[in-house]
Amino acid sequence: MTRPRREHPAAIPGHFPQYLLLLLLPLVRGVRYIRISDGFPRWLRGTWIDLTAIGLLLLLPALAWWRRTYDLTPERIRLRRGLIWRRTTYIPLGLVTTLTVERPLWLRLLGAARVAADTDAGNHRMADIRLTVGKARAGLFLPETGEGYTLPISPGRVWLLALLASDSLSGVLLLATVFRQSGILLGEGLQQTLLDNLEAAADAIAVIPRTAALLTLVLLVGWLVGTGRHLLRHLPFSVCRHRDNLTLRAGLLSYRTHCCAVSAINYADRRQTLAAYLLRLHTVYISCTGYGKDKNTLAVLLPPARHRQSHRELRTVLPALAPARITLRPVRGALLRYIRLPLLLLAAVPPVGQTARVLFPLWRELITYLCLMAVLPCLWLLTVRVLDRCTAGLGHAHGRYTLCYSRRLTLHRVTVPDHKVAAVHVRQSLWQRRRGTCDVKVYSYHEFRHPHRVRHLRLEDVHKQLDITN
Amino acid sequence: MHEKPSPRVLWSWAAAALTAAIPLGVGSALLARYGAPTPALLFTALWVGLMLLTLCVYLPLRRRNLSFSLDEKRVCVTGGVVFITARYMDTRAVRQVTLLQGPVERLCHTAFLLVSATGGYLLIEGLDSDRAAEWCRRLSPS
Repeated sequence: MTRPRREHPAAIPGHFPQYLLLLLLPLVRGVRYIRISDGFPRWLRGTWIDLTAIGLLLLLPALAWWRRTYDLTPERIRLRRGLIWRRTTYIPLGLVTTLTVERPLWLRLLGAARVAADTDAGNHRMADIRLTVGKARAGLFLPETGEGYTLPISPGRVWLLALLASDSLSGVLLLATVFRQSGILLGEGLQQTLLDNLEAAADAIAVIPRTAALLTLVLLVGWLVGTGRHLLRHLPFSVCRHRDNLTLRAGLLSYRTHCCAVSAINYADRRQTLAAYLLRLHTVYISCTGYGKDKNTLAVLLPPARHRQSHRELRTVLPALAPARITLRPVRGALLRYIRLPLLLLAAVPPVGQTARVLFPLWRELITYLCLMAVLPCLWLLTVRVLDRCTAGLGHAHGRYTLCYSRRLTLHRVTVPDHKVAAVHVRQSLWQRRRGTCDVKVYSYHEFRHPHRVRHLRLEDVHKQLDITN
Repeated sequence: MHEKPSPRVLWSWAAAALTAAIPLGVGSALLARYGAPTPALLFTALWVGLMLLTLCVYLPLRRRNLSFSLDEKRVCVTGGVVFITARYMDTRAVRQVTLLQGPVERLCHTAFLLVSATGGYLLIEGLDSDRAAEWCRRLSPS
């Protein structure tokens, strides 16, 4: 057993949030005395309470850091932590699925790095172990890999990834936070100028109502912000395969190295959004517990590329997860089952819009515009579902399942090895029972229940293909 | 071979029950001061009664029914008061082992063991400290 070590002192600020509740004490006291006429002298007499709370707020994170130790042996990581409740966690290194070493700018300046280790067990929202260690020690966590094969990834593909993966909502949320903070930090004058500029830009778009133009502009700017953020996180992207390890490096300001055990990869997923389908581009993602768990990090293996290129690269990097041939396709006449939901949504838009127009006559123009805007995602979903009908299918050969299906607005082509399949569900509705068809759900290993669903296949073929008998 | 938890585990459980009683006590005090006396009295009687029932009946029964075993293939924890449940976990599925000790457990030389595997976990309560360390070694494969 090696000597237990403490984390880098840069980890101390990370302990502050859990003790922020202590600030409630001065706050409650302040609120209590501010309402009393002779409150100030009485508040002053009890200042020691506030000072103690602030002292504890400074002391407790340092104590938590002092009591948090780790030791790393060739077999396992041991982490001891907790001030009152002492916890000791043992994680065998052989069972770690993903090891991440992250070096954000501020930690680089302090000569530290953040290490996260994850296994197939534990919390599915955060890494099982997170440590802030010195730069030199961070390297010790990564497995010795030796020479490997590095796949050349051009920056253009990362740009495409950022453009295709960006979503407006997260960008708008980030923008809103920055906007709120800008008012506090840079003064309300600048905030007002920003608002005026945005309104002027909205006025310039004269063809649609002003509020609608503002909404469109905010969504557009949000999308651009999302793209920028993805670029910062993924721009110099590289993939390297060494024996049983896959090393993925990314990050412009915050350097990240993810080391995934190949045997721990649950499935490979070749995804296409509608835009990617039209551009004939495929992005390959992987499911390996711990990779892509951080907020705003995509579990991407290969950024967008043409079908042949992505197929070739996937065969090079992960030959065991190359897709098998699709042998089962949805039966004829299944189209309605695929497009039922978008059709229902499309049919619901006019009555909902009409009701809203009657209830809020002042906002008629805006409601009409919003209804038109609501039709767009429905049409988008309809197109994706039609494409899904054309491309969906299931194949099972060479010890792996390949499933083509759509989820929300994305087309997936997933390859799951047999030993990573937790369960296969074959489901029939009353209608399907009459027609002899079924839906197949394949559950792959994951930290939580994760199904891949192909609709409307012929039951008899499914039984033959998957070697299932009733 | 099934093992029973240490009798000292009752102290840990009692401490947890009494900690849970603190906010109830505060609630009673607030009700007595700012509310009508009868509801305050009823509320206090209710939680004190429940607490006594927990300390005198529920916890001893829980300890009596609790047992665990560990062999080469699996960990088994059997327990419950009304319904007795046996939970099994394949030792090959174990991914992490966490040893937990609060102040009471440190005083009583007992420990809790949280065994995490893909898709679930098992909590083993009331192991002696030394025994818990040994189980840790056996359950965390290298």
